[in-house]
Amino acid sequence: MLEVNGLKKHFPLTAGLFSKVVSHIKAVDGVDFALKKGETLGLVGESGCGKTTVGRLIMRLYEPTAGSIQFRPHGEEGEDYDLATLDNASLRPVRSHLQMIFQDPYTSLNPRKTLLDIIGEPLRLNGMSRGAELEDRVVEMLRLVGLRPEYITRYPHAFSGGQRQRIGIARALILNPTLVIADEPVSALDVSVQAQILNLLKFLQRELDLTYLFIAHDLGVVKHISDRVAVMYVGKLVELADADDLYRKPLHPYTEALLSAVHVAGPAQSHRERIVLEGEVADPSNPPSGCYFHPRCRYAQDRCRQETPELQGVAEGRYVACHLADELDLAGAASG
Amino acid sequence: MDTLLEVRNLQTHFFMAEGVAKAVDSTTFSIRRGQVLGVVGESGCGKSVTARSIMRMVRPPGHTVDGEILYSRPEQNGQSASIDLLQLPATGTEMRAIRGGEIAMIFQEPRASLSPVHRIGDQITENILLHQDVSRAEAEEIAVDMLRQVHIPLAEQRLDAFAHQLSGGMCQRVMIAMALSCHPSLLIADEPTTALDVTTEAQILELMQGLQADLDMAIMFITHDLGVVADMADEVAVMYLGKVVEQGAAADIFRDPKHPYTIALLESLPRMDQEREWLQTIRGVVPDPYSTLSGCPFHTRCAKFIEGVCDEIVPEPITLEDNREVRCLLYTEHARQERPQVAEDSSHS
Repeated sequence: MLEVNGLKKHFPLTAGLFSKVVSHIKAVDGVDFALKKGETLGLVGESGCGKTTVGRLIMRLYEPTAGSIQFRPHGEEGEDYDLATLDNASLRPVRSHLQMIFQDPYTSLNPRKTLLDIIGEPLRLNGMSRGAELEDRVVEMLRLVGLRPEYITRYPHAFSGGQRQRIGIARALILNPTLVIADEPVSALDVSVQAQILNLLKFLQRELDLTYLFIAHDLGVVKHISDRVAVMYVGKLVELADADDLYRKPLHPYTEALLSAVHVAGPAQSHRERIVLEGEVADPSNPPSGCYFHPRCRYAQDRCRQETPELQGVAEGRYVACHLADELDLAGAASG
Repeated sequence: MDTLLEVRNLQTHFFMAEGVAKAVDSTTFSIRRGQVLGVVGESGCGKSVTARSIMRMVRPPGHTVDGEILYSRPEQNGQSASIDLLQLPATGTEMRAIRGGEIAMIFQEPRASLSPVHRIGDQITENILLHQDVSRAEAEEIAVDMLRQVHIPLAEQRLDAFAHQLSGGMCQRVMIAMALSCHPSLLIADEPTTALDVTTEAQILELMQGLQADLDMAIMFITHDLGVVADMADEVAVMYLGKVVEQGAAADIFRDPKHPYTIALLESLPRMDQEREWLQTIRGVVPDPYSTLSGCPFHTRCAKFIEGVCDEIVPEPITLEDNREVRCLLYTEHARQERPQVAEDSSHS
């Protein structure tokens, strides 16, 4: 349904009186993946790796520097749009199929509007309904996300973080989108509320046949919700695989390190080896030569310092960008 | 074993226009010398206010109105004397010697806790000069040594750096260096890795574990992340609405949680090592801090709520066989009279 090819976004870095462009931050530097209808693709990585930028590029909140984003909201037979090149006017009808849920439920809702205005706004802007009909739709959405219909006249300040996230979800879903980009939708929430929202997202996906691009840094959450997982490091995908395969047997050393850094809230896990990476995430305006991960990789060889590995298919649905993928035997998450 | 700090019946309340918020409401727990106590709970449960109460750093409208914080202070003759920190004037000499010296604290936002206009070397030496009888040059030597101990490369040069020149992980290392420069017997770490990325978090946790073993200090590790606690802590205290609802050895609590809140928290986590189609949720929300609930503070959300018992009787901490303290009526006579099977069931969940 969605096919992203060679997607790039370089932000210029300027300096001096005339804002001369001195270099570029390669926030997203050649990302390819595809999304099937009804599935959830988890996109993980550390802060600054470009995962949010990918989401925003698909929404066309940013202009891509290069690459294509093929989007077929109605499946194979339906129309085919390239989101990367459409102009604003032709984007408008496509945009209702694409919606986004944001991280911070406190700042993403307008404090001076009631729920009717906030949730109904997309419908009003698209001229799809008004008046009593609009109100009915909003009430329906409130019920769907587990909020009481009486809340329709209230303002966001009256709600807790979890309830606000439900409001954000209701707003995103009122136009019946096909693709929902969820950018860290639960990372600002407490665990008990996080569980409610994750269950809600899963329930809505089944009810409404939604496709999710789920951006997060918490590997436990991503495993729970995703069918497939893509791992990003400094603007590039380093691994893409079925969630179970990736967690059981990662092929990229960065994935292995990420998995080993996750703490499992259970007994008898404390003696698992924790791989502590040296140093810090590479600077995307001045990435290292060869494989971007090589300065922190404990398996790095000469070849890794010189050649940049491409993302390659190694098995059905499994992709990895590592020269040593065939040779290494990496540890996955402990399964109990 | 040797108790370093004992908090008894601590009450820190915030007096607001809307009413009195009991942020910490008769909290009782203890930390043993050289051990890591993990304090977990959701936002608003009073974890941070408890830490600030120990440091005597609660600002108005908050006041510690009751309780005891017994700190066992080592004396010159090798013995230790127990003093109640709440009896000391918050800004007096003795408390100032303890705060930052014997009991040190690090915070969630490492960059916000460092001064943006002073060089980090000056910030560390200032703390050393305040608490130790050394010259400026000696203090600087200690500072460099501390920066090396927290694995900061090029320690001498970094003395001249400002906080904005360092990454978040580096800033947290500087905070740890500063906190440990006076050899505290207790380090209070308030969500020290929450703002950091997972790989940086792993570095900082590894560092803290190493230093804890080397320096033989106790750590009170406050976090909302149950996974981090499972990895770091010897003992765990679970807080809900200003009270410690369960305290015991970390291994016991994760293997066999007793309090319904602890059980529910562990069930609600998505886990990498288990398949869970749907996550367990805790019904309802954390009650408004100004509300005055009768009975057990968790009864409105509890899966094992017993009508007529939990909403009427305030549970007192009781000690179970594995030296675990639980504040729950399920393990008392009250529950057995009502429904004898309940206490049995919960131990298997």
